[in-house]
Amino acid sequence: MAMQVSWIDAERMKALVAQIAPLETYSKESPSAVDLDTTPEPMQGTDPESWGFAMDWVEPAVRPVPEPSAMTLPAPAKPEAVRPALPAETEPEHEDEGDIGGHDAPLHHSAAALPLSRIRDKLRAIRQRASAAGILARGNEAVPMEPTSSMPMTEAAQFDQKGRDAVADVDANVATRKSESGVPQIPDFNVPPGPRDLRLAAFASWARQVLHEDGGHVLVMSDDGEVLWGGEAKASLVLSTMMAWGAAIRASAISACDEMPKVVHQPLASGNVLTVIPCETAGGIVHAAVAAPEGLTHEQAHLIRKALCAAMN
Amino acid sequence: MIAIATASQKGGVGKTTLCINLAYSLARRGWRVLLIDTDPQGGVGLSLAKSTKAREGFHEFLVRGGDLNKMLVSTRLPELEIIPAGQYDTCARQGWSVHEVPARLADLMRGAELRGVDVVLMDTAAGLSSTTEAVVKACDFVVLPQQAEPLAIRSVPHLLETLARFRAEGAGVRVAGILLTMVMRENEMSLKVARELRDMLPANLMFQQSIPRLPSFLEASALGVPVALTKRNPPPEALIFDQIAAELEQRTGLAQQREKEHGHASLMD
Repeated sequence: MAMQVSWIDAERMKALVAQIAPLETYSKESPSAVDLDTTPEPMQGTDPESWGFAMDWVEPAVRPVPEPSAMTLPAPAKPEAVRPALPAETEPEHEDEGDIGGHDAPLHHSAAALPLSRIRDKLRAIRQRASAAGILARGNEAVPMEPTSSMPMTEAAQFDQKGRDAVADVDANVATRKSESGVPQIPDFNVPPGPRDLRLAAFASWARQVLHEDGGHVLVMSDDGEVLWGGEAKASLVLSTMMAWGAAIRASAISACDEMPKVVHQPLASGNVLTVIPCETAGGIVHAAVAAPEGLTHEQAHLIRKALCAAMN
Repeated sequence: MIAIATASQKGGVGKTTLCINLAYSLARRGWRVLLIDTDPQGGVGLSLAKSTKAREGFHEFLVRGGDLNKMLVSTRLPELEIIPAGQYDTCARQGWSVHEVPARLADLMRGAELRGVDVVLMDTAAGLSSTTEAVVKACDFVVLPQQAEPLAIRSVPHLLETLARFRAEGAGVRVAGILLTMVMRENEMSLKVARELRDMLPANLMFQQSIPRLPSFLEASALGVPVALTKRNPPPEALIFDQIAAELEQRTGLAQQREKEHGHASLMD
């Protein structure tokens, strides 16, 4: 019997279906009807920012792949079975081991230096456990917008005179310290009173001094990806920050515990190193992201985290 | 590791869109995914980055084999890597032996497996040319995207006939399901076509989820990203591909494999 629109003979179709054999793995209890009208509404409006998803081409990081052998092929890597407890030492420290925890293609580790396959298997097991437990995506409290805050991407020049003075004070403080000793010192960060934008402007100014103004770029964003400071940053940096942090969450069990999340280092295609410093503030998790020729040291990251927490709280 | 190909007789049914977004969703769900563009048009590369146009890829591998690692393009998602189509015309001038294609594909799969890939997803050209036929035969499963419009649906019997022939010739590829694409909710004819196909085919042969025709998919192509990345917070339609990924896990046994290996995970231990 030919169908009205599709012109398909149902009997012929039955015979063909029998020939291609049903799937064995799929549940037979599929619903008999599907409501096509339950599909989502199209989104209105577009985000003007465009991001490249595939990385700009860089020489691929070659993983330690054994030579294929016609005689004996090694079994594919399988995740390890669930263990009652994960030894702390199996979790790589991002600060010490580069981006191994969050990224499986480290650009600066030799195969001989680290048992990458072992680490990868362990991370996969952790990730799968976190996924299975429903904790893959970290819960987040939205960072509350202060009523006086206009746009997070506001330029410093748009602040009132009080704000500019506060930022200038930070710069002057650093300049003074430099001149006294002749050697750049890391100044204390004094949070200026005022709205969040002002405090973050002061933080960003201070952070640039911590980085010795080496060309790094500072970005502050909420856990939802909202840019709180540094809107002039490239959109790709925002995306890289989100992806690096998301990968770190997936690749470790840090989302399942209450400890302060670790710092994430991510080599960028541009040659810079992205350092993402998560900070637990009163309003939820906020990330400071710094793209610089070199990753931040532990001390620098600690200082920036402390200052950002002060600015946000 | 499992290998999944897409296939359809008709072009423009959304295979590449499906592959890019499905690969992204699978990767987000924790699988290590390798997306391979076997379509000479190079739609995957064109959709995601300018830089892949000049890259070597799948077709170079067909011609001379070589190191898989040198053809990989990383993405911002560590679990997802791509092998672009490569320079089809250059390779076509050099030519490759049709008889060698299955062996090359076997090498490709072996290389992916050694690399620790969980899912190889292969985007194919429209129709079932000799290369696409070899690709589908080399895979464990095939997903059949079908545009919800009369002309496209009428090609379903032909496609199933071809797949039945593959099975008869000894290929182990299984149909993961027919996936309705480009469904126009406002168009009665499109909905009618979808209903007819669902009425006619067994439920286990049809994906429960269908893909609507939405402007945001165009927007995603324009931006060069999966739909989930068009906004800083994924738009609702991104969940469509998560749903398809979850269905695919069930249909291919990936989900069962994971359950078997890991069982129930406790939150605190």
